[in-house]
Amino acid sequence: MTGGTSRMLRVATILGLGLLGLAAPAEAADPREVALAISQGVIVPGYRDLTAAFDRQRAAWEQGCGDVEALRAAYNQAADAWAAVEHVRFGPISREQRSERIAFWPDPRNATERGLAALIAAPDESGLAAERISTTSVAVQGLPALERLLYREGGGKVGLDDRRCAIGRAISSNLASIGQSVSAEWSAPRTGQLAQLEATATSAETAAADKSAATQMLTDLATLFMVVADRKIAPLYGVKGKPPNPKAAEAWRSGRSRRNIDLNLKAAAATARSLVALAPQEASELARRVADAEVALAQNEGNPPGFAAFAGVKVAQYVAIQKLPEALDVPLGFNSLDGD
Amino acid sequence: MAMTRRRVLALLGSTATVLAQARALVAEPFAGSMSSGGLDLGDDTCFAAFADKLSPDFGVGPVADGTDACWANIVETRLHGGAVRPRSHELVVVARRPGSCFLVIDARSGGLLRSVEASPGRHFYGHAVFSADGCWLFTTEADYEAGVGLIGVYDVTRGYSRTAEWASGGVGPHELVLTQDGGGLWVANGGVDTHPDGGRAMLNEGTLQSTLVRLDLSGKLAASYDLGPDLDTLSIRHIAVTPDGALVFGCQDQADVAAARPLVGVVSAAGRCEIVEAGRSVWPALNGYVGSVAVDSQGKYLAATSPRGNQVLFQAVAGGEQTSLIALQDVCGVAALSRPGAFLVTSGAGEIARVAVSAEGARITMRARANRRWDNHIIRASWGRAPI
Repeated sequence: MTGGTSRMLRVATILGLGLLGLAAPAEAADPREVALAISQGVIVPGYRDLTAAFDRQRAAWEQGCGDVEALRAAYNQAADAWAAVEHVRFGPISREQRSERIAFWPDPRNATERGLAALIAAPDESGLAAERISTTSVAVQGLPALERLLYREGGGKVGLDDRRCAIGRAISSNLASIGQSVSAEWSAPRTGQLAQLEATATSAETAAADKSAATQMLTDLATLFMVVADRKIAPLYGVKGKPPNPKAAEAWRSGRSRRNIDLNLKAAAATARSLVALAPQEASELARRVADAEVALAQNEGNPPGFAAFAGVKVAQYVAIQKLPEALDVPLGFNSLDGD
Repeated sequence: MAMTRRRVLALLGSTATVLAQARALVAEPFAGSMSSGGLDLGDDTCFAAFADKLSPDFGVGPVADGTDACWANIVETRLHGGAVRPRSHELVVVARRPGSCFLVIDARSGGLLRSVEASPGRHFYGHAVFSADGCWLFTTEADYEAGVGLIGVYDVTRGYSRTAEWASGGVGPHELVLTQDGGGLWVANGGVDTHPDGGRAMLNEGTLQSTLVRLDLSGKLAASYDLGPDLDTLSIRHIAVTPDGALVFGCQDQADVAAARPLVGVVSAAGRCEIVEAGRSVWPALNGYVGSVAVDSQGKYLAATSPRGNQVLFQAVAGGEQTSLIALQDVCGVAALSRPGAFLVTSGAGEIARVAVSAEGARITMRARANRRWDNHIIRASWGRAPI
């Protein structure tokens, strides 16, 4: 449990891997290096893709609603880009409820449906400007609301009347502006999140901020596995003795439930890979465990179906909580991980 | 431990046995003995929920270093906070948010007296408090379809039957405590809306709107405080009263923790709600998260734990003296002990520490370790030293 032990283990690991030509850190990883590795390897490029996809989606809706397939393609690209970064709670995404605005889910009270119905039924055009959308219920501001506009239960043909088209346009425009804000707040010179993490000036305060950043990012990674196993895989396939309930799964209307899980796991694997230089053994093990879970998901084997994927994700979660953080000298505690 | 588990399962399977035991115990005088292992808690006895380090089991037991064969109830549900009934050995522990039950346990033996399920359409938030006479239990609950916070009112003398529910004056009520005079309740409405089908996910469609509310014992709203627009991302979760009637509260920032917003405040006995003045480096060190608060027996010092900052903050309630931080990995549970300035803290790493706070600062005076991951809260018995 002690830092000394984990350092010794790491030194042993480094000695073992030295033959492979991997860079050997002289001492315990600096929390700042951990935060930078994840930021540069996963978060910043992920937000760049997300902003581009949201911009394209807005452009698609601005073309009008004649070509539903084009709007669906834009939605799916945006949803793909979001699935690659949705687990991130650190930094600008946590301001102004941006994460919930982009994807309000789970939604057990059907707030998205209710909010959308209210918008559709509203007597005038008020509420349809992007800036007005941003002040309504967060449940109607994001991808789940667009999905409901674009997909009908049972796969029926979708007709987007002027009203629905205007709502979609407003939502897509609001999403684009959220994406641009997040990217800008990460990449602004000097004041941006990345610049702050890159700054090497050390004071007690910046050291605390670096540690806080690393802790949050590793917590985000561990939470990704909990969400994927418990909220996403469980309803889709039914585990722990419960029957499947596909309509409780994420994005079932657009048939994305499986795909989102895949993309979340790919994001987890990318995060693990970004840390291999800092914790060679544990980060590699995590990447391997995620790959195992992906294989299990693809084969959908096991008895009952889905259990192998569920179990695989739980094994990865164990490594992400118990092994990797300690190897990086940023241990996640029982209380800090999931407190109340 | 296996013995304990079998006993619990057997009791759970037999309502008749549970009821018989419950009747027998209500009338029984306080007797027996319990060792607190390697850590002397002085004149106090404390309990806490925990997770077993070696398995995914959860439980509740006395806070002790684990070398003794202290009772421990192992259950499948992760437990959270609770209370010991005044002048009794009934320990109530509530399942964590969104919880479906609370357990009534014999604090001498660990025997399960009763398991009370949430009413239809309701879930628990993890905390409970008894009235001063021990006749009523109050719990924080949600009407989860409506997304409305409630206080559940249970008649202890009639087998913990639920006799009423009151509006909590907000969303997501979390910890509740008795007012100093026992004539009312303080409720921390954390503002976080949850639904059992959404697990622990936050379902708010707008901003948090966390409030601190005082109710009288008929459920009527007596006072309500919020932290204003600058601090509207803070969820007020944990509270403790001082002997002179002030209230200390601890918050969790639901937004960007890098903003290092202040996390601890006091509502004075006169009703002024103020954030604690602390040194510049204090709030960043707590990393946007306070997990528990306590006030020492004299009402002079407050303690606030941060498992995300791995620190405990100690500070004079009235301000003026220097702030102290003690570093402890994954620390969360905290309770005041009888001795002035004395606190007990527990951590997810199994650590148990006594801390003495004075004008010179805070220092750990004794520490031990249990093979358990202590969960968020310590429940202190009001009957003093443990002769369970």
